[in-house]
Amino acid sequence: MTKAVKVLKLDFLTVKPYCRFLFVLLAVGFLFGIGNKEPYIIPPMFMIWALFLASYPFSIGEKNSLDKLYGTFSLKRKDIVTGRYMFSLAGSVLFLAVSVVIVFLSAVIIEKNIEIEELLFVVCIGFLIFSVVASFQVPIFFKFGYNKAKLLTYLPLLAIAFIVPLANLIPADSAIGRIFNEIGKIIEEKTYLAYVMMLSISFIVLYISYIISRSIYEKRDI
Amino acid sequence: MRIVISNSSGVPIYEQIKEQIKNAILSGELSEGEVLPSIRQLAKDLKISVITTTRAYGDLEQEGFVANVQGKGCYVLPKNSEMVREQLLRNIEESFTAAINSAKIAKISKDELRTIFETMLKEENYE
Amino acid sequence: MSNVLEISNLNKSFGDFSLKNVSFSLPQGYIMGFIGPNGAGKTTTIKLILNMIKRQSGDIKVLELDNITYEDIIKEQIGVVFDQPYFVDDWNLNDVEKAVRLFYRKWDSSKFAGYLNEFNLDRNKKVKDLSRGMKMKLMIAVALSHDARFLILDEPTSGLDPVARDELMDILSDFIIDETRSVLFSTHITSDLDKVADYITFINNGEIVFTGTKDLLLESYCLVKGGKNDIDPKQKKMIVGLREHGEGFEGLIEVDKAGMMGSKVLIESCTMDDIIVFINKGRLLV
Repeated sequence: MTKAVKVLKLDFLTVKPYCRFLFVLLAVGFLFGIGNKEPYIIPPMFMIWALFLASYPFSIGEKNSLDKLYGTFSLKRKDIVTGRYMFSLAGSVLFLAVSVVIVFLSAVIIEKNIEIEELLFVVCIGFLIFSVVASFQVPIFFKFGYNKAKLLTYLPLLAIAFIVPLANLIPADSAIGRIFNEIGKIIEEKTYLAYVMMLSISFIVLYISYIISRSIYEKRDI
Repeated sequence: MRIVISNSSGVPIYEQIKEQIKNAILSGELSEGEVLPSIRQLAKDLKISVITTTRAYGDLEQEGFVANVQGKGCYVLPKNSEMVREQLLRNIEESFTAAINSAKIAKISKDELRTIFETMLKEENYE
Repeated sequence: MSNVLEISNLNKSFGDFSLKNVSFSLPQGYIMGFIGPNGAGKTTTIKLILNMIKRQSGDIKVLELDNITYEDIIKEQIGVVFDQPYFVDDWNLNDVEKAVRLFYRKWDSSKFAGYLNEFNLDRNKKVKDLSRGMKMKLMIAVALSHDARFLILDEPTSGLDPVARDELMDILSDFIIDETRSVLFSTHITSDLDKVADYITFINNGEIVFTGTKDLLLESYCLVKGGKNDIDPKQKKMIVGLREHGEGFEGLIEVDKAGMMGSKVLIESCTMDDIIVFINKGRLLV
């Protein structure tokens, strides 16, 4: 376990020089939220930025041949994968926390009242988006490396952009339509079930992705 | 101690080291009981391989010039007349070989060569 | 006398290249030069030693331990230098130390500071702002600051000027002075090894051509040169990597066959470069 924590620390050190860029992104998110008078958009936006953060160890690593550095340490492949997922998770939680603070800040500025349920909702949606996309991207990075995988990993984002409008076209009486309706109702009522459901799916998807990444990276020649 | 290696003389490096140390011992430059630099220090100083210096020191030990004591290093043994004589005889043979080779090239006859030698012995007052 | 490295019957194949039955050992306390032309398999072998790529068959023992089973223990005790630095460009040297010390129990901060001083490396400089020679020295400083027993260097001098290369040889000679530490050094610039290497392993096209002391290698072959008509076809066959030109020929001959070349030819001692070039040529002609 401790080896993975070392990888986590190493990943933070790896992205440290590029933090400045992330601050810019955060500022952009902040201004966007205020500008649109829609602060609830901020957490999901920050989650998109968290996806970029999660890809940094891969992109910076490849540019600087860090896999050779890892090769000289007493590190097992599984430690690297575990540490990397911990890093992505830590990054997303951090960004999520910051986004919540920014939501309250912008609410003060634009004089809007924040409903906790609404906020919880977008936080869970944001985390869900992050989890699904990251779960897709990270194994691909482990398999093909950052440069070859770059384009592939934008697929899920594009998919979301397409699927959402398409989803609206599904007829309400079809079997799928009915299931979506049920889920929709649960979500709309914003019961705690909804939050639990979204977070569970997030973690389950992340865990499956983790298992896949471990078996992929185990076999890889550096 | 003075050791100078030539990379282009064609003589193996360990041989050069051996000869120079031997000559230093015979001429008295290196005195009895003096400790030679360690095998590894010498290799580092001369920028050659440790195996080469090991070989040189090993040969010197075999020929009775030095003794290698674990932990203390390699130190010079007292000159004994037998070894000095042997080395000097070797020097003489080498010089004679060089002279004979030159004579071959210049096509100087055996008798001429002997005459030159006798003349020089007289000049040097060799009894 | 134990072996710091023991490789036996190592095999690994990629699409168009394979290592075949590679075997060699390095006794503790010495420097081994690992030579061969580009693409011969040097880096592949080193990556296999470090378990960065998986071997298909054979054994590798480092510090007398199997390199896969005891990878963790081994890697704490070895230092590795590659031809390109493996640190984040934008790290300064303090960041480098922070990153590296996470993984070495025996990290010695004052030793590292000492080396930075000795090599004139400014802590506040970024890795990307270092010259090529300084990047190499940085990797060496890291490798030497955690009490490593075995240093593995993969083409550390490519792109370095003679001054930097000479400085590296000095550092390596110092490293092995206490007899318990060893060096494996792969390069295609053999003049670096002409002087300080104790052992040489020569690999060509995935196979070991020679492994043993450098003296033995240099004494096994000599250069033969002569005019076109100085030897007959039967004698020509004995020459390795024969090169014929307008005014004559040259090639490599095994020392015990040199006497059979006749008296018209010139026989002289060869350098390691001669051995690599002519043996490689010989392979291509076959």
